[in-house]
Amino acid sequence: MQLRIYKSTLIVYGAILLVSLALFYLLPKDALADVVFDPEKMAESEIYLEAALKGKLDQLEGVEIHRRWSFDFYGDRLEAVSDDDETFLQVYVIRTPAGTGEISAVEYRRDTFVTHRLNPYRVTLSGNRLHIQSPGHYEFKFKGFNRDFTVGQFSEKEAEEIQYHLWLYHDIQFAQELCLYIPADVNIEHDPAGISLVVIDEE
Amino acid sequence: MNVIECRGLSKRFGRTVALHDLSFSIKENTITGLVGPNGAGKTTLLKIAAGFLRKTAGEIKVFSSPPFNNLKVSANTFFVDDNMALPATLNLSETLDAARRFYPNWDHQLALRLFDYFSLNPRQLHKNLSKGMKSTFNMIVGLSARCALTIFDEPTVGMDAAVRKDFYRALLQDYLQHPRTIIFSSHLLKEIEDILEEVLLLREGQKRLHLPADQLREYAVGLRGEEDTVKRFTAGKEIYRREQFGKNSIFAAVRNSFTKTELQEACAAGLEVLPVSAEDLCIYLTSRSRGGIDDVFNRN
Amino acid sequence: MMSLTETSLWDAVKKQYVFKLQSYANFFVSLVIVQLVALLFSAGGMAGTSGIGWNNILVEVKLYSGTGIFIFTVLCTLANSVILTLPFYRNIDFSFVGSRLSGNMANIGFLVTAGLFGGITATLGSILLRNIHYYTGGGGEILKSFFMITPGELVTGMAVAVLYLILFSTAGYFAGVVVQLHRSLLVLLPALIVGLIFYEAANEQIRIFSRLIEFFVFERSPFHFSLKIILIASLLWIGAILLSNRKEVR
Repeated sequence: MQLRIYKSTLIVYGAILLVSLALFYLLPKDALADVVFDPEKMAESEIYLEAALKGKLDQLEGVEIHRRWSFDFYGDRLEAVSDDDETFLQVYVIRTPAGTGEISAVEYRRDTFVTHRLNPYRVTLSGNRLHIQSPGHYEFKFKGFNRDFTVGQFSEKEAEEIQYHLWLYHDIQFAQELCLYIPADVNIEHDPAGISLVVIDEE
Repeated sequence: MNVIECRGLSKRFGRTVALHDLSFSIKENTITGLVGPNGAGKTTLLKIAAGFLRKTAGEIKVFSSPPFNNLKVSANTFFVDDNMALPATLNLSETLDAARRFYPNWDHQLALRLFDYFSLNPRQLHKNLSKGMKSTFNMIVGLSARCALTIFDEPTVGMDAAVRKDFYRALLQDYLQHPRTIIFSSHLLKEIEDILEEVLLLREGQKRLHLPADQLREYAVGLRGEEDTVKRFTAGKEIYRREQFGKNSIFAAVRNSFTKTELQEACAAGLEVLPVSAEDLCIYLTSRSRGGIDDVFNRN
Repeated sequence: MMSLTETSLWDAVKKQYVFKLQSYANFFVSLVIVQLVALLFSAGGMAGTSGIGWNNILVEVKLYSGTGIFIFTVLCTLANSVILTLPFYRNIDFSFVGSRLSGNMANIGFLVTAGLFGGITATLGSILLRNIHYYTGGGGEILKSFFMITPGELVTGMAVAVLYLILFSTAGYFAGVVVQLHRSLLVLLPALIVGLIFYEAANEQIRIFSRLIEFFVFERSPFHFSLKIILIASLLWIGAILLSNRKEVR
């Protein structure tokens, strides 16, 4: 009697494993978060920072303009204000030639695996106050699988600890940025505690 | 052919000597009873013959080869004792099936019929059986295997008298239909005496006697009566037992080397001539002193 | 007259092997139980969580791995192989037909079979783990990296797992035999090993265990890896046979 129970257990277990194997290879693979560890890509993310600091984000491949706001402005003083007290806000400020009378804000987006989850910026101008609403706080939670010890026995790379979060950091960098284009003759005021302005120097 | 041949066999466990200079042979197709008191070395001898234990000195051959670690001996020998090691996962009928695969002579019908007769439940687990049922089961397996050498070491532990009787009959029946060499070790010599052909008596690791069973019954004779008369008739003979009966009468068991006339004379002199049963003989031959336990109470 | 049965060693080994597969089915079931427990733990995320936050972004990645299932399988196999050397199991070999050699050979056959079973099921358990995560909670949160296992990798994983299990089986079996040679060894041997481990942990220069582990874990060539394991397992097995060949039973 006991033997029969044991045999049944083994057979059932084997069946479960085989079914799971079949299911696994039938999985629609696109449903997964398309993130693959690529050490070379990590290095590439430097490019974005460089471009951003030069004000040339729009010239990079893969970066698109998501939305653009334009305002007429003839004043000489502009106060940039964050509408959201709790979230950190950082925008780039690029100087345009003086006297154009136009302020514009551009939200750039880069195609990453989180782009579909992004919230939009909102920019409004009232008087000489430029209100910027940040997209809010993001929390991305993922599940990452480490390679099985036995599967990786023969792979050339040393068994390194998989730093998913660092790779994601690089992957997500500059997924969404806001750039303000403000004429050179306008003074910009801001409260550093509420909003962080990165002013791009002209060469 | 001699199934077992033993010459000067000795076995020592640390400092204890279990067997000492044992020499005997067991002929093919006989039922031999191995008897003796506790600690005489019966189990040790049987386990050496079965190949479980190693000898310390001397020679032993089973089927003409040393039995230790010997596949041929293992395949042709079945050892039944009261604690056979069996896997806990198999029930009784599964165990029978497993045993069947090992022995080409296995008689499954016999096993099933015996199972039925002794009311064993085939679905039960061996470890859940009572002691008596376990012994019964072990016996069934031992018989059904029909090995050329089948050893029973105190196999009736826990069996009640009725089951024991049936067991002896079953053993005899199967033996008669399918002769093989059987060694049966038991301290209940009286019960098995009838089915034994030979008796091997051990005492403190040494052979005390090895005789056909019927000769055993005639081996000694007892004389009881007046002390002096008894002494006269038993002079010069080996006395196996001497017991005091009342003030002046004793009982003495001696080797039966009397002629018929001598026995008649003894009767005429007022002595009782008593037969000595095989069981009693074995007890006398293996006791420490001639007076037996009486010596504890006699201070002289 | 009864004619004697002739039995060859191979015949006896085969019969004992089949007998063990049935009698010791509980060993296989214990592997299943252990793997299910490991699966339970692994599903909760055994490898930990890593996270990073900057500006207004928080990224959290919970890590999962099928290695836990393999580790549990190794431990169970190790225990089983030691248990197989205990008198209770040894004596079963002598209830029917067998010699010490045939019993040992059948035991190794059994352990190799159990290793095959354990290695294959442990690796498939990894797949089951991935399925569980995929079908509860959706694939959108699962990072693609290392989630997919190609059939080639799967087979490699199985083969490696089986080889490691064979190694641990023979090591456990050998240890079991050694420990039972003399009663004192039951305490001495574990004490020695544990002592050595602590000593090595404290002293950087002594690297016995590290080197032993690296000997296998860092071996990148499949051929050399298999060779190492087969050679060492064979040595351990032969050692076990030689050491137990004169043992008294029952």
